[in-house]
Amino acid sequence: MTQLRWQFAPSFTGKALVSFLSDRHESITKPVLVMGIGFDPRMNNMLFILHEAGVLSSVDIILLKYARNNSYRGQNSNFVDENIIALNAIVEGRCEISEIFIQTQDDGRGFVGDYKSIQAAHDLKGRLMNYTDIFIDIGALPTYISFPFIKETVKTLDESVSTANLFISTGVEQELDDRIVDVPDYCRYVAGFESNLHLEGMNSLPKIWAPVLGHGRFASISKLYDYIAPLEICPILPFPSDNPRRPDEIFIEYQQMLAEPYKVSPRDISYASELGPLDVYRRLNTLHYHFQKVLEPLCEGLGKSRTVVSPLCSKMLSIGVLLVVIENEGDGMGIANAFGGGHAPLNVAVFRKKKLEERALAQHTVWVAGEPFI
Amino acid sequence: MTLENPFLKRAAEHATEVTEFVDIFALKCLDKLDEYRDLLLKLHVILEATPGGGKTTLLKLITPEPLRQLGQEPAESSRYLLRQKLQALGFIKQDGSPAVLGIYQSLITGYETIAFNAVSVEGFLRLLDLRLLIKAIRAALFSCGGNFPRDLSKLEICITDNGQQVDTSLRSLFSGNCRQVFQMLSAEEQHFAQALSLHKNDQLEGHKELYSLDILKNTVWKFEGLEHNFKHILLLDDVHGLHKEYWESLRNLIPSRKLSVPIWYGVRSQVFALDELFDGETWSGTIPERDCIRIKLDSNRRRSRDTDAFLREVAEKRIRRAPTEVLSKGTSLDKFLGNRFKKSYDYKVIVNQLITEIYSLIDNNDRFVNITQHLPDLTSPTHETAINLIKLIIWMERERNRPQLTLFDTPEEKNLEDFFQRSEIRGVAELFLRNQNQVPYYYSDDVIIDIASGNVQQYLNVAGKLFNRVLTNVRVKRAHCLPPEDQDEILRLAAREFWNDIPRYAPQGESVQRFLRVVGTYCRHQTYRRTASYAPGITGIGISVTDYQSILKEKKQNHPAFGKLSEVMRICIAYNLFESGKDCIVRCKGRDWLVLYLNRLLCVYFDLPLCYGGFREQQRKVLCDWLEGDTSNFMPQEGLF
Repeated sequence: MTQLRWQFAPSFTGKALVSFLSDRHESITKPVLVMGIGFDPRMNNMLFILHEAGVLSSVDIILLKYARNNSYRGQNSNFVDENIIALNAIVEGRCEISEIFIQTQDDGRGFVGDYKSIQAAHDLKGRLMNYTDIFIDIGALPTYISFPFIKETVKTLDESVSTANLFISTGVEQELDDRIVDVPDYCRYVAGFESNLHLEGMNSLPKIWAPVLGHGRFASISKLYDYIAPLEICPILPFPSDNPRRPDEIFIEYQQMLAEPYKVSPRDISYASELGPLDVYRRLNTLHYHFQKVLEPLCEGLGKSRTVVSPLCSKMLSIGVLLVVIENEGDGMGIANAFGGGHAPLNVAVFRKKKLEERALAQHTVWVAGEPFI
Repeated sequence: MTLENPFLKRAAEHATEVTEFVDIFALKCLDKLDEYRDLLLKLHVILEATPGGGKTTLLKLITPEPLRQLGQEPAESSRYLLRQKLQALGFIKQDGSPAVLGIYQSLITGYETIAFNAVSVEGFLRLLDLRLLIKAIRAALFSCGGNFPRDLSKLEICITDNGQQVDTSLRSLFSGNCRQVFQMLSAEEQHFAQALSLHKNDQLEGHKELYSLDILKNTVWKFEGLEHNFKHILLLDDVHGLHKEYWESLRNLIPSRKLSVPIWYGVRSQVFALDELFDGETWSGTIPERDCIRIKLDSNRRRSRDTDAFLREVAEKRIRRAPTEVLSKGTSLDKFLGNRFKKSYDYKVIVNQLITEIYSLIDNNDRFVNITQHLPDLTSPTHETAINLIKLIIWMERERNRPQLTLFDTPEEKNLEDFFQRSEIRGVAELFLRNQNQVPYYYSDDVIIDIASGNVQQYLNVAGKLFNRVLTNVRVKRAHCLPPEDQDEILRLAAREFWNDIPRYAPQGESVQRFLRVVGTYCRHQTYRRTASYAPGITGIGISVTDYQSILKEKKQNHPAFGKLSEVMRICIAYNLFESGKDCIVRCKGRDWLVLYLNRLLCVYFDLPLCYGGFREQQRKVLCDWLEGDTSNFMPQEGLF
């Protein structure tokens, strides 16, 4: 295992993030904020932080709107409207706002959200390179939109001579993440994260499945297991965590499934800190290389074992998943996820009581490209 | 204690062991192939079914692992019957070795990216060729008794004839030691994927035909020096998952006169146009039993002896995989479904309500003055008392509404006894009483078979939900047998889930659901009329064949409303929301009608009976209005309760 790309990636939370941005105020000459339009109460967190740091007036905002079709209104559309009103209240006409629509379902009813997200990133390629700082807030973006978009952006930055800084940001609210559950209608490797996992010629190579677990993903786990057909399952549970009982509670929730039909033994379980995304990034790197080494004899000289990761966890941990897969995509690591059926009904109103100021204190941002990596 | 529910396992996808897969495979499923026994290995085969109809399970049965496993089964084994059947169909040789080399390839995954990147049909065929040849090596190794990938180098490919049209680069790859061939093909596939991820479509060159067909036709396999001759078959599953251009390129292979290797296509009914769903033709331009065989796996959707036996076998095989604590209670589903009510129902209130109803009819019509003598004994009202009173009300309502009265009109009381004996009147009375008074109506294993609408997956889902409750009862040491109340509650819940899921899985889901809501509501209104004119109930609609043909014709002339109607009808049939088929053309009122019956789970959702036969004719214009949710052309009828 060579030096990890993001092992020491700088990350900031809440007030530290505000002061970091305030300090860099002068060098952030042309920033852009890419964010989703969604019902998630965290949608405007990063926008608020940029406002607090005093850099908002120079920020361009790109809104990613995703839906089955442009006129679609679902059960949470009212909350989306509320979020847009709040956005306009913060911006007060100071920023240039543009909107990009990502259609998630094609006419034949196939789910294409992830592919369209790659396309959107492609289309924005030239434009994004003109900015000095790119902030991507995944708070109101589902993984099938945010992951392909970020991966393409990282790829574009890697290939270009641009030294733009790229920040990935999300609000941290475990309870909310546990409740926002995608209905798993489609189960597949996320576009751009297939690696060699779908290749017929590689099918004989062992597949390790590392689901990073949170609450409420029972249906997804069962579908993903059938889809991936792994040789071994190595679940990753969040520990340390704000709630020290959290890993136990999560394990108890899936115990019947994991222990019996899937035959997961205690030694297959790993733990990664839920206090930041980089621990899960390091764990998954270690796990991937460990299995490639120990399973070499089973591969009969036809290649190396592969690792499939599934971010069934909080948004913050999912950043770690994203980074590790971007780094190892060429080496047999990919992402499988179950999505496409909208969200399971939840009472978002309960979570909207918190004030934006309070919510912004838990905003976590990782610096993934630019100055520290030159 | 974990008790795994065997009904919730999909045979083809969930079975981890080959023995488990063959154990839950229902032998009756192969009966559909009997008719075509001599043609199965000579022509292309189209296996058509609605989602969950059993295509994948059937295709996977003729892959090397199950065939080898079954070929080794001794005569005393419970799986021996399946082996004999496969032997008779020509898939297994007399000595137990596989006679065919089934090369299975699902087309639902791994092809999304090429479609999205607009890779040409030629590129698609090239990728498919590579994958099929890779799969062929794997399948051949299993069929010869080798271990994959350990024994790859022991397998050799010999080409007996250099096919004329074969792409030379592909042909040159596919010869000699299999380890090298496998690695080369694999590298080619990887190269293809790499170019794709870099969006370099210019590097994704391909060819216009599926060359693997010619290559495999001339291939002989040598394992450890011994020659093995197999009849190759391509098993292309989930063809409906492909982008239209790609599956059309595969479909175009069917009419080709030169049949090198037969292809079995597993397709969902959704790929067919509306007219193709009804007539016996396969796809336009192909002739059945000359170019191909089209087998509809769930053509017996309406309850028949075959469906009945098949689904009972499915249930029994599943229960045999249940935990011992459950298995000890019995191996058929009816052992777990009781018919004794959990509680006793108080019929006094209902009976009083019905008596009031009868007296108000008598008060309003002096023709019924003598009717009180036909009232049952009311001292201790039972279920039967209520049923008889409902029958009486129906009779009175019919008499009241008799269109032509005679000069000295009196009710035809002499017919009353006959009327009371009629089974459809009994059926509708039961429906009225139970559905309006929370007395369980949907229960027993017969009902569950009806509710399946001939679809295995639907049956397994419903039975699985019931079995979940059985497992819970066993776990907490309660009586394992489910009372009718529990069965009714679970089935209604399953129906609600089925209904709510429609917009998610069906194309144009919202329109389809809107249309079905009107159809269901209409059937409900007609069924629950006080006269019960269509006893035991309406569960479908009929469209005249003339109207149907004109819809197809005018759709082509871009008449938007008919175009939409035909598309919604097509989706409903393809997704098993309407049960229909060639057998659903009925002669009535001097015209031929195409009858579309609601899926039986939808009947549960709309509180309808599960019988067939009751339908109301509708004009195409009315159906077009229904598409928009317009119910103005039918007035809600007054119900009994």
